[in-house]
Order: sequence, then C-alpha cells, then structure tokens
Amino acid sequence: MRPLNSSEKRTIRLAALGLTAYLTVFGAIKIWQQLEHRRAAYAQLITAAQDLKRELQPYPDKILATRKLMENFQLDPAKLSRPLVVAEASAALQQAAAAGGIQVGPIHEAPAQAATKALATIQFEGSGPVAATMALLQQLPNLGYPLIIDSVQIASDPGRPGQVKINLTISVLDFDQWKEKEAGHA
Amino acid sequence: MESTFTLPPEALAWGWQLLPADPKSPAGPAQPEALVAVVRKEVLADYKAVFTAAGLNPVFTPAALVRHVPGPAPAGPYAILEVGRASSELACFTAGVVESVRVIPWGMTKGDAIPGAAELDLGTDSPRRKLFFSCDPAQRAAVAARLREHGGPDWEPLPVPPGSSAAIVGLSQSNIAMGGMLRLEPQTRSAASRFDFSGAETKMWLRRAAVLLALLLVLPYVEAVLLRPLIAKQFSRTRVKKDQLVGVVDRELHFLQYLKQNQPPYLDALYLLAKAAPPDTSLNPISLNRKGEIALQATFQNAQQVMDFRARLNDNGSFTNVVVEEQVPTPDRQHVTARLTARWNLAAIANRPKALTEAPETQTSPTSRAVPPAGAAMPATPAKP
Repeated sequence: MRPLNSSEKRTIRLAALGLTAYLTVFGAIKIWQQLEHRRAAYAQLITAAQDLKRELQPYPDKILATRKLMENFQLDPAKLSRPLVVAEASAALQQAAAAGGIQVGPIHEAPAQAATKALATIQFEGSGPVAATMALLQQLPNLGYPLIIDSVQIASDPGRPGQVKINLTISVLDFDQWKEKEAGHA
Repeated sequence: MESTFTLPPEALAWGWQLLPADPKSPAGPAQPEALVAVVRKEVLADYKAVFTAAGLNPVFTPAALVRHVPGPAPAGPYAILEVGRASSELACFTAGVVESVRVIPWGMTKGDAIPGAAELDLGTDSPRRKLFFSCDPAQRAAVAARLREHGGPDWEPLPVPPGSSAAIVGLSQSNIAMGGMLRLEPQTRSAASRFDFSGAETKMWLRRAAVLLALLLVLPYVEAVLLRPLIAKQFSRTRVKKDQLVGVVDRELHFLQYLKQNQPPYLDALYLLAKAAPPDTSLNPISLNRKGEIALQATFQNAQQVMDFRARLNDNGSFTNVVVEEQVPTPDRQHVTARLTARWNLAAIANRPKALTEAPETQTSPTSRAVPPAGAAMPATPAKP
C-alpha cells in the first residue's frame, strides 16, 4: 500500500472529524429526544396524578356523609345479604312490633315488581295501643334493614277497646341494583 | 468628536477638562472651552495591571499638563519640551493653561535637527513664546548640549531636583484636587462591558452560576428519569384503591340517600292532621301512602267543623287537593261523618321545623283522646313519637 500524501491525510482527517461531529450531534439529538420523551411522560403522569387527587378530594366528605347515614339508619349496606335480607327484615319487623306491645297479625310477603328498586314487599297487620303503633312507625327505618313504608292504614280495632289496627305495606330495597347501577356508570 | 480619532472610541482611554474662559477666544467669552486628552487604551492597561496587582487603584492624567509647575511660570505664552530618548513631548501654555500637547519624533538618539518654531507649530504667539525643556536631571547637560548642537531655539531648562522629573514635581506641587484633574479612563460602549470578569471571586461566582444554570436545565430530566418509576407505581396503586373506594362509597352513599329521601314522614303527617282536627273529632280510618295520597274518614260534631278542618288543611301548606267526598249526618243526627281525600306534600312536611311538631297541643285534649273507647273511632291526636 502506497503511503498517503499530505493532501490525502488531510482529507481523511477532515472526513473523520466530520463523521465524528455528525455522530456526536446525531447521538446527542437522540439522547435529548429520549430524555425529552421521558420528561413528557413524567409530566403526563404528574398531571394524571393531580387529576386523581382532584377526583379524590370530595371523598372524605362523602365518607363522612355515608357514615352519618349508616349511623342514623343503623344499617351497613355492605353487610346485607340478598337472599336473607327479606327474611331478616320480616323477622326484625315482627320482633320490634311484638316488643312494642303490638299483637302481630297476618304478614304477606311478595316479590317486588321488576321496575322498582325493591327486592320484595311485606304487608304487615297488627293491632295495639296508639303509642305502640306510633313507636313502630318511628322504629321501622332504624331496624337495620333498607325498609321503606309504602303505605300506612290506621283504624280503630272494634274488638279491642283503646287499641288500633295498623296495616303497613313495606318495600325492602335491593342493594344489588345500586351495585349494577354504579358498575354501569363506571 | 469621535470621528476625528483614527481608532474607535472603545479602543481609547480619554478624558476632558473645562478650561478657564478666554475673552480672546474666537468663539466668544461665553462659549466654554474644554481640553480633551486621548490615548490608546492598551497603553494604560499595562500600567493599570501592574498597579492593580500591587493593590493600588491608579488614576491616569497627562503628565504634560503639570510639567510647567516647577518652572518660572511666565505670564506670557511658553512651551515645554520633555526630551526623551527617541521622541519628545511638546506642551504649549498660555498663562499657565495648556493649549496643546504633541509628540514630536526627535530625541536624544533620534533626529538630527530639532524642528523650528514653524514646524513645531507653536501658534500665533510663537515669536514671543518662551521655550523650556525638561529631561532626566542627570542628563540635563547632555540634553542642553544636544539642543544647542542641533541649532534649535534657545531652550531653558526647568529646575528639577535630581532623582525626580518635572511631571512628578508638578503633580506633587500642583495641589490639584483629584476631582478637578483630567482623568484618562477607558471608554465603554455598554453597561455590560463595564463588568470585569477577571477577578478570582468573580470567576468563582460565575462558575457557581454556571453550575446552577446547568442544574436548572438538567434537573427536570433527572427528576423524570429517577422519580417516574416510583410515582408510576404509587399512582397505579392509588388508582386501584380509588376505584375500590369510589365503587363502595358512591354505591353506599347513593343507596342510603335514596333510602333517606324515600322515607315518608308519616308521623309528621299524622300529627298535622290531628292538629288540624277540631276538638272531639275522631279520625277513623286514616290511610296514607308514599305517593302522597291521603284518605280518611272522620266524625265531627257538626258540619261547620268539617269546613273548619278542610280550611285548616288547605291553609297548612302541607296538604293540597282536600276533597270532601262524602259528608253525611250520623243516624242520631248528633254528629257528621265525612270522608275526605287529599294529597300531602312529603317534602314540605319533612322539611318543616321540628319545633312545630313538638309544640304542645292546645286545641284538643290529648289525654281525653289518647285511648279511644271500645268501638269508638281512633283519636284525632296520635301519640307523639
């Protein structure tokens, strides 16, 4: 191989310098783009985290409100068992009525219509002193079950002086319908 | 004035000084005249570097302005030639005020003949101008001989003590206040160029600033690279918890709110009905439902009480559409039995101030109707919850 003259050496040196400069600039740009991409992803993550924080901000108040309602109704919806809730509610209703001095009469249970949010309806009949019937009306929402009194009928009891007959139609709410509803919203 | 210099202003050090008013000036006595001194900046820079390194802050002024001080100070015009080795400096004065300063290419080792008065451009007063020269006192005789040898004008030496110079003696004797002295200062074009970045402390602060700037640029990327995995992990954990929390809390809250909003205030409605009923009225039976419908049958003392009862229900605001469907006297004609229907406003009753429902009943006698007699109708006033 013949030795290179000074002009060729100079050309090779310049080419090497140019190539090195190109690779350096190219590499620097690539690294910078990579870093910029990471920084953008990080900024996006921070924004998402701030959004999440904003979404969670109302929840302490919601939790407080839920706890207060649970205390008022003495009811924990999470502990309700769909297969047992109607039976348990009916038993609690009869127990509360009997404890208040009401003589429990016929009780009819029927599944609720599909369009309603109820699981079943309970028709309760009983008779007792006026004070006891009023106390039962007051106790019903706080029995620990999701009960809504659809109708109340009060009449005097002809066979029992000083006592009244009370006829209640009660809906037992189906908590599972709220689960499906929230799942549908999610 | 800048256009008269051959160098750009930023390459010069220059200063100026106002001269005493001259009544014979062509511009007139009121026009102020100024002396401007200009020198290449590099000439001062070397000296300044030496003095600054020694911890001094030098002030530069043209020495030619004070060389006349050791002399006899004639009243008329005069010139002083400071003789150097290769060049000399000629300063022309009138009444102690400098008129011009020039460097001429004649010295102890250069030039054969000293230029004549015309070549020296001594001004219009050149014939009358006295001529002095100054030099290193040790060479005064040689300089005088060279001046005589080259046939120049009749020069008189300035009295300068040995080991000194006319400029030093002039500066020490002139009593010129530093503020009034013509100062030669390097020209600066912009404020930024006045900053001196050569000091060690300045360099240290510049390095710190550069490091801070670099950190400022790099830290966002470092933060992104280092913290992103941690925050992403925490974020996904929080998101899962949030989904669980939102699912449970929202579901339970909506359920409980529905339950609360759909609890009709039956006791309040019964209380309001009893309150609206006239004394000794029996309500039997009463039927209320969640849709807001009321149906009741009542036994009144007379027809007027039926109207009063209806009017009270209407005025109450909690009941609407009060309809007396049937009103018939009892077989013994002592009472009136009426069958009424109405609608009750659940929200209005539920939101009534509780104090109203707890107010003592004054219109009727609760004790007399708390327990109905056998076979009698239900009392109008239900027991308070």
